Amino acid sequence: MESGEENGLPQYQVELEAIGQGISDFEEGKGENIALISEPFAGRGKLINEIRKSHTDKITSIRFNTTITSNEFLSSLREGKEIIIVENCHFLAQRKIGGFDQIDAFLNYMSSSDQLFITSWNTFSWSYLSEVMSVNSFFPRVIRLYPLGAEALKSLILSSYPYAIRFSENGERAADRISVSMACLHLRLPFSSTVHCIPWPEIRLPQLMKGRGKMKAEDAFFDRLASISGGNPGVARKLFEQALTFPEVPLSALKDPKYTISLGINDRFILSLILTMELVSKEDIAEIAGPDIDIDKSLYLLSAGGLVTREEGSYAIAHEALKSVVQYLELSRVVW
Amino acid sequence: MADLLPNVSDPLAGLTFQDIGFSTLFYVAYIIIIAYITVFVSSFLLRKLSERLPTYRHTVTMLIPLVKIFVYFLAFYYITIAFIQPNLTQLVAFFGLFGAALGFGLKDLFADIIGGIVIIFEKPYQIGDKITIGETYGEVTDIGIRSTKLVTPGDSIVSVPNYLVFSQSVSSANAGNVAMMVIIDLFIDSRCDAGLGMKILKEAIISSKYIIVTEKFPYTILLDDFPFYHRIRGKAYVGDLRNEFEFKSEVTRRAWIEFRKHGIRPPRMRDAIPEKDTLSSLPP
Repeated sequence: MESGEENGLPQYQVELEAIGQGISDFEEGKGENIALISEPFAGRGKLINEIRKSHTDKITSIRFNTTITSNEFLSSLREGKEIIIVENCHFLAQRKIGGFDQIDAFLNYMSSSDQLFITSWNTFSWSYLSEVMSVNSFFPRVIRLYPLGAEALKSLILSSYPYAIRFSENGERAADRISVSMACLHLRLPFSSTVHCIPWPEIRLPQLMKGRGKMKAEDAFFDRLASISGGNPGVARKLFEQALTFPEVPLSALKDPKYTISLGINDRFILSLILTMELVSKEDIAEIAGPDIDIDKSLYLLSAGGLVTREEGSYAIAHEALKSVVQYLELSRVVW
Repeated sequence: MADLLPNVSDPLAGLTFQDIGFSTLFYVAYIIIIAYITVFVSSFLLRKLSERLPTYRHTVTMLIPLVKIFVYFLAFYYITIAFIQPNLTQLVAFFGLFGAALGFGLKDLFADIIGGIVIIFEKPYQIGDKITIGETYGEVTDIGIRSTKLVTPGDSIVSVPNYLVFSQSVSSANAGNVAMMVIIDLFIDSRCDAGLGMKILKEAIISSKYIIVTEKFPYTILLDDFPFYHRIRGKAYVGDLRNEFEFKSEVTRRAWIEFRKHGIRPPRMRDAIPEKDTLSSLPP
């Protein structure tokens, strides 16, 4: 397995190495299925692409883009190679009576198969399915994509622009800013295949930095971006694009989108469905919610509040609203 | 006799009473109004805050009775010193005698106040809990100086004297937590597929919009066999105890729709009642 540095994903080097180790162990006869878990927009797909590229000859890949209602996918698994990548496994379950049959079938097949399964999941679906049907017990190796720090976001975002981007203070002095962002220390505990993230706050105080020179506008921008986006690369990229006025990014253009969310139980439930499924059609929402909930009204309220966006007939959480939505739903105990 | 108890009468001997005039009465009224407004405003703000912090709702609301007791005792102290100007020894002696008089004359009220203090510190229940005290079941909406207010499922407000905490057993369904266990019983014909019934009830519960499932709040599905029917029992936690009845109703309704689709029937009364022919064949 190539390292993340060589693959162009240095931010996920630890995770790539952990998956690579899982593949090596499988080849040596110790097969432990892998679950790759992350928030929406965190870049699971990119990581999976890297793995796919480095083991093309051994891998069969399946990607779910919508809810799965029949077990035809099992035949693809049976005919697959020794390593199977299954992306977006959260689409195998629907939160309704009879909506767990496909995931049951998948787990049954997986537990009796000799193949290695590398699966990817939405983190909130994963938590829910782990609690209600112990999905986690089928995956000894759990790899989570934790929030990225300011430095990692900076290299990730700037590497995708072929030209130099200028960061200007535009009235806001970076040197005067106190900035706080969360960083992650990766740690693998003894006797565990799982990589843990120990979060710690990175605090920059202008007074203490006097002796070390002024804080650059660029660093101040990414510190703030990491804090606003919650370290989510997809959200950070979106906010960066909104702030970018080619070829300059003024420090003041980075806005913290604050949402005051107050929803009824039905709207909250619909919002949680969209968060856990990431991209879901209105028909699927209606199927899960049943006749009790006025879907049109709920979707209108959520769209009007800027919490969800509509893309080709399907609904997704708005990038900028992700952090607020997660905080609200966790506080309301709708997602765990 | 006076020689035998010299120290008891001494502390109050030099107690001086203030002249009670219009200004003193005005001052007392002012203290009472300020105390009332403080309690009202702080209770209102704490309740609002608690609604914004669903997970810590009970912790925040339990500050309300504490604030009440603190403010009313402070008010009482200021009113007392408006009438008398005691030194510390006299103050202690005065409150001792006042307490004794209160204890004899207003025994029940005093017991209620002590009960209120015990409830606040020992926490047999908290504001927001669903409790059964005596024969009353409901959600605790307020713990006052004298009584605890409950709202029953029928939306009646019941005032339960605080002293009952000493004499009655109190059962709290959630013990200070916002989540609460709800038990749902469904009865099906004993000839129907009980395994399928359990699967349907399980999925109705875990897919409910009201449920919370974590290691701390697990769910269970149980089957019990009776002579003419099966009982399928689901035990699960509702994320917010205020949705107790909605949760029960939603799960029951959805499960029965699915039961009917799969031919699972409710038990029939005629199975439980012997037919006439059977009865007539029985020996007298």
